[in-house]
Amino acid sequence: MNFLYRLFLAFNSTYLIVVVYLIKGDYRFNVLENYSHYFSWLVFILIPILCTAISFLIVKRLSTDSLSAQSITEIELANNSFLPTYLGYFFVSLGVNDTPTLIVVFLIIYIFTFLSQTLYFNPLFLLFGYHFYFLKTTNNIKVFMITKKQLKRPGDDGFQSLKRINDYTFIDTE
Amino acid sequence: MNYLLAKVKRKTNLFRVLSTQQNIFNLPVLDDCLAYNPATLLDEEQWYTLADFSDSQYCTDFFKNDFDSVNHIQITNDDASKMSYLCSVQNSNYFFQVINSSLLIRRKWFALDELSIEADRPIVTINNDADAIYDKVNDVLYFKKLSTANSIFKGIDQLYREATNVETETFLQSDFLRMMNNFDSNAVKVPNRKRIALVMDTLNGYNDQQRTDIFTYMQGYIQVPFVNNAFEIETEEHLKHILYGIEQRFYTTQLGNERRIANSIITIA
Repeated sequence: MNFLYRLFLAFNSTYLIVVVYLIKGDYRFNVLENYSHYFSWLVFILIPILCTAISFLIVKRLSTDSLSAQSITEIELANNSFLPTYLGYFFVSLGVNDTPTLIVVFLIIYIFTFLSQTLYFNPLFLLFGYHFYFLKTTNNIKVFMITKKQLKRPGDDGFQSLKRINDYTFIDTE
Repeated sequence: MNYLLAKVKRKTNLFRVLSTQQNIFNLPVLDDCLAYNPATLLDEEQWYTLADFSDSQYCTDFFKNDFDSVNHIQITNDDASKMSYLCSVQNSNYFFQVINSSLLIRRKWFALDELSIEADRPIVTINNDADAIYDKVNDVLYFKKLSTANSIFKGIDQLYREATNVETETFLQSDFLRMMNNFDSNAVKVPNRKRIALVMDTLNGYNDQQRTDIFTYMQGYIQVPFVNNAFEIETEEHLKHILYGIEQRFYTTQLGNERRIANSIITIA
């Protein structure tokens, strides 16, 4: 269950590469051929957004964890950490000229995103009002937190219904 | 939310096993508890307590800090087969259960509502009563057996330690004892070694007059020959009686004059 979900999340966070490639190549859906290409592009973009929305539904079924407010010693905003990674992805997909190359490049990025386990940055989460933080606990463990809460000062907010994506990445479902 | 953690052999940190809304262990009735004393044996429903547990050397950071499941890594299937004990964190109570071969079932089994044989799917069963309970609010550790508690809190068996070889030797060379028939410290087994460790303090607390009194008292009860101001020890049984005697475990009932040994004692205020 958890393994499949991680595959799905890694897919969501890397799929924008494909979207950029499709837009660059001016691809369209067959059924939308007679309409402006903006309609097809909208659908391309909607796919990862929908998948991300679905991922929030599935996350409720993962096992629960907690982190008390007093145990957070350090808060670091990570909202913008995805930018360099994503710029890299975009340049790659803009530079790729044929579909087989894209498939190979996408697969490589996908596999390493999945294996690295720390980079489930999906900027689409921002659209849903989530923020990314690196939190350090009293045990000196740094975890990656995806939450709707605005964290400012350590000790202000605790988390009672976290969902564990992996040992270092948690989503807050409060 | 309750969390079940597990200690894996040869790994220091506890691993996270699962989280659940259910109570994994129920809090037993803890009304009838006795502060741990090696001389006291428990009844069925009784528990030993160790107060101010956080001041003791067995209390690790795990107990001192707030519990956060985030700090614990999810256990892998490989590690799960090497669990040594479980720890269920239920609010401010920590329940412990030692995993032994009777609880980790590697045999074939089937569930009563799904009648098909499961092989190679070991399961862990959970006892009704935990082996040890730590109440964080009152800072008290509850347990029933010191040896079991020692599998969880390493070194806690020092509360009832065995006398070392040197201590046993020293005790046996006391002027009121005489070894007969080659009985020596090598022949002293664990139960008596533990008693020796306890008795040494008691004995050192007696002055000369008290020692004379206690030896007279002992002669009234035990069958060990008392020759030239020394008891002649030939067997473990003799030694046991001497040790019981020093602790004044022999008594006679007020009515009926029945002579008895107290195998468990509780000091009353």
